[in-house]
Amino acid sequence: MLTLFVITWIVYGLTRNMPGTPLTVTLGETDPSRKLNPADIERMKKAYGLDKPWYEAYCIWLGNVVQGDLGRSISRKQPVATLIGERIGPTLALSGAALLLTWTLAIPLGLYASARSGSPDERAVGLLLFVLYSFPTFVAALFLQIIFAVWLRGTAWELPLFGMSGDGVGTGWWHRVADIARHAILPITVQTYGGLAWYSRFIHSTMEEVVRQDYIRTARAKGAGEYRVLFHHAFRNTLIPLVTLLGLSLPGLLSGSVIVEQIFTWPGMGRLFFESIRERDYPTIMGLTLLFSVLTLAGQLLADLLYCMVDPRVSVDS
Amino acid sequence: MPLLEIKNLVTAFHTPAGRVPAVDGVSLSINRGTTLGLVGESGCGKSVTALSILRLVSAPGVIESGEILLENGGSTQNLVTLGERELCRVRGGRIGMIFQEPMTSLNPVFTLGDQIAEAVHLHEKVSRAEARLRSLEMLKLVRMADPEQRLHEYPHQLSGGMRQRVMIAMALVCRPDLVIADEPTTALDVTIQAQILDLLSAVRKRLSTAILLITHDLGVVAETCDEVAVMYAGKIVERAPTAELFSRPLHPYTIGLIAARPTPGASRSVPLRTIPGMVPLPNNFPSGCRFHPRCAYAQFPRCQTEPAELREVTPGHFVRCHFAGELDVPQNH
Repeated sequence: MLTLFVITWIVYGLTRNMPGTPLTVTLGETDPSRKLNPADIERMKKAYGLDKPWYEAYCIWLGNVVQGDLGRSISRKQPVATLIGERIGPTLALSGAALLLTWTLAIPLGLYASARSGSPDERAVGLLLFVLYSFPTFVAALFLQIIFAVWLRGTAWELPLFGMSGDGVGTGWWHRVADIARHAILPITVQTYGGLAWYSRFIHSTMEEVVRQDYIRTARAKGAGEYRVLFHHAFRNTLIPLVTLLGLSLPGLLSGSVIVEQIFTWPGMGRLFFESIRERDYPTIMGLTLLFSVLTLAGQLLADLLYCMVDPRVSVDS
Repeated sequence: MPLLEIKNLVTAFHTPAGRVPAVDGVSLSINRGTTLGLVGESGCGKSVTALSILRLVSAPGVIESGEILLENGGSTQNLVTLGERELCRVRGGRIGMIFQEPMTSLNPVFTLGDQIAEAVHLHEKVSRAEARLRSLEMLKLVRMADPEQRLHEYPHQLSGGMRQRVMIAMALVCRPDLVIADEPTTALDVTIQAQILDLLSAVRKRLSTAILLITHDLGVVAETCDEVAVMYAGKIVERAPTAELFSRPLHPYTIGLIAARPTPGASRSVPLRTIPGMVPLPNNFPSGCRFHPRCAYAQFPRCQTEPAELREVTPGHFVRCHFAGELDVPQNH
């Protein structure tokens, strides 16, 4: 609770002290001939609570949050809760799929690397993953867009350039889901490939550490074959650090990826966050910050609970 | 036919600094149901010898030459050249192993029952209930308190001595013909040490298992072993039945080891006798007889240039010394 308080307090202070206010952003975009007179600006400031110093405004915001009100977005003229509600689905679909894909591919890859450690094929795969890892997502995204939306246009391989749904699809729910899935292929790919290298490398290095332990030698001395030693004895022990990672990746599930969502104009939380910062939309920034902070803490709690499941030395009461 | 016969085993580590022969031509044999003690200072190659038997030496260590022959229903199988699958059958099935560090030798995420039962499942086609029963039986045999409850406990809930009992139970659950115990009591308190050694000899009598006991403690050897092999700098320097070795040690190194033992009741004003110098490292063994730089009886230049061979001085008593049996040694018994 205290953590949440400190985080929101600092973030509020920082955003309110960024140069510019929601009004300057709107004013900058409006036609100079229709400029508001200074008296109107003062009135609007008052309406949005921008006339008060930030610490006072923070207290008002906090009071509303405690009563379950996240406030209204200044630039979008909608309640923040509604905005988040609209964006949470697309982001969850995108990053959930990407995370699931990353883990289901990274675990076998990491185990494969451990089983064939040092062999030429393991080195080749490792090198490939490292190349992918060091390849920036925005570059990869642009390449994929050129390949699948431009070069392959008109073929069966064509994929949509951006957005989450297209025009002229059938009416049934099945068509809609298929359409969204087609739109999601490229963003999911981009969001997965980098993490893949990172996670599989992590699993591989943890396994290398574990197989040097005495109990692995005991398992071999018992007559366990090489695969049983790796997949049964060693892997159960690498789950312990993996659980920490899983907990840490939970907030990412909802915060989404700013870059990927921006490039593919995916209507998700990452883009909402980016745009709300650009528009100095304080209530939205704060609503999102609060949500991400809660999720980070929840992720840690989840990791702690999972620890009890995978590591018998940890128990709930200790 | 001996149960296990090691012939000229050479195990070397290929490090960036060069080849390090930790075990350099070791020959040993163990008969069914007997206990052989392998004694030596740290770094003499005794643990590597033990690990080599089950081919558990990890990279960069390799068995370069030699044979490890295990008696197998009238014929023998050579463990050095055995295929992976056959080897797994020997490991834990015909030869069990107990390690030095009970604190880290059990897998922390599995229950003791699972770990013992796994050994049964790996070697025999039995039901889960049967494997559990066998595990329980073994825990009773190694005199664990509350064996039923222990089956469901994890290693971290046990003390070092109790964990070592579990290790023994696990090594013996498939009734192996041989148990290799690599310094099984070194990491334990003195009182627990005695209990574990008692347990090992009791279990050996019960199951008529042969034991290869690796230790640096001559007291342990005197109490538990039928035969003793003394190792120095990667080689066996003396081998004899226990009583013979202690009453008539012939190698200057063995003589020094026995003399260096503290005797109860001896005057405290008399300092313990020590062997001067350090154990040579395997990457820099001395020429000739490897013990000559520390030997009080060394004669030059022979000991410095000519490697000594292991020879049978009296029946059953082998010594690797040019002057074995000719030295004028004060006998301490």
